[in-house]
Amino acid sequence: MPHSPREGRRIDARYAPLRPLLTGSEPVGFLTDERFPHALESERYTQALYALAPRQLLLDAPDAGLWLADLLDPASLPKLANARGLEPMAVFDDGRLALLRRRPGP
Amino acid sequence: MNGPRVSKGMLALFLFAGAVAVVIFVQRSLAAPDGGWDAWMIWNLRARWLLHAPSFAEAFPAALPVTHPDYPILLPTLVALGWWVAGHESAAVPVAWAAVFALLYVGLTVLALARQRGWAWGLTAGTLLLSAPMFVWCSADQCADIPLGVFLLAGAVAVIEASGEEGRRRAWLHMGAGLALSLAALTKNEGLVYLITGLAAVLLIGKGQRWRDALWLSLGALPGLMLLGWFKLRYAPPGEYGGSAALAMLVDPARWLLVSVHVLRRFVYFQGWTLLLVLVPAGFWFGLRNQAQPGVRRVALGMLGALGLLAASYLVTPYDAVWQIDNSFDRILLQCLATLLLILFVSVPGGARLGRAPESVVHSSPS
Repeated sequence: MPHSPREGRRIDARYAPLRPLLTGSEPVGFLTDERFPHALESERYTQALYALAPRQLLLDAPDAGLWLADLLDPASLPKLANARGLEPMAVFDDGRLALLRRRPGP
Repeated sequence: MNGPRVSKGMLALFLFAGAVAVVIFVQRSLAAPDGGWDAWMIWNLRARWLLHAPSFAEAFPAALPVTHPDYPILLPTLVALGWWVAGHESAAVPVAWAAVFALLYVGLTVLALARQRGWAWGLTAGTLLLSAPMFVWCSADQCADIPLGVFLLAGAVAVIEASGEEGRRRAWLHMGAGLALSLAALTKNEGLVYLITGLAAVLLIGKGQRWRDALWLSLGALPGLMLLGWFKLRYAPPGEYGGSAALAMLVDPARWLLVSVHVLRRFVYFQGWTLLLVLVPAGFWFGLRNQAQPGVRRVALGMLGALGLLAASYLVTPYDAVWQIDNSFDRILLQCLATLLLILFVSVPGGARLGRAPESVVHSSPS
């Protein structure tokens, strides 16, 4: 895992660039290409929750205006974003972390 | 204190095990300053919510059941308090609490046994705990199971000590046991199970004073239980257990088989426990047969009841049962281990054979 806590640094370090961009209080949608049977087992989701607390990150958030993508493979971002009508606002960690917003309608 | 004398080898072994445990604790804490999965996912996460949520009520979002917003908040409160005092979210705060509770876990075991049967037994138990990989790993991972184990042990010590007392001291000790067990309930949900089964055991075992002992224990637990009730009823969202699905799982023979096999599998998890798990059935065996100390029998019965109920909870878990057993059963055993060592070592016959000859024998020898 590229952001495993076994690296000797705090989990927060990887998510620090996102914090200034998450200034509101509304829930944020969460996207990942990590496969897990239960949300508890997603290291990416749980670490993002911890690092960005008290911001609520929701796996099922159809109405969210803002989304966080935390990816194993940066190449999966366009597919995940297009499926939900999202576009990237900012990308970090070599494309593995991205903040997305809803694409303006036609 | 009575009992066999401590040999230099025994003391050296205890100190060596302690030094190795400290080195591993420091190494793991440096490698993972946020602790293990439970620490960042449950306890330290909640501490952050307590510190930063716009209001206390918003620190327990029902929309995020994955973060277990219904879990008791003693440990997150301690961490949040430390961060508030420090002025920033230093990783050292939860690490320091983990170290304090690990020290208490071993220290209280050693002292309680030293008082009951002498230092040799105390140091032997301490060495066994320190040499359990699961104990050292969980301590560094900042698991709440160690603090829970400390409160459980404190309650057990008070119940055992009380059984040899009368009058006001007996009442105070039972109140202390109630207080300790209520702190366990404020630490993790399992703590409430230990409190209930402990109270039931006090009512079932002993002569004459059962109801009075139970009353004092309940009074000691009352403040903590009121706090827990206030949190659970006012702020905590409903837990994930229960419902009609749980009832269906409870009467499913295939599920009983699955859970039984996987719970028993944890008893041969050699890499986490070495041979220590042999002491679990031994603790119950000797503890339940300890006719001289009804307090020990009460603790043994209470622990047995709690372990049975906690194992049965896997039948109705909303999660994958195997995944949950693999991820939690060893920590449940860790909660109990120090207390089981205590009841085993105060009950096992032949104390004089441990370490050197008893002091009385040494003193009577010509010098």
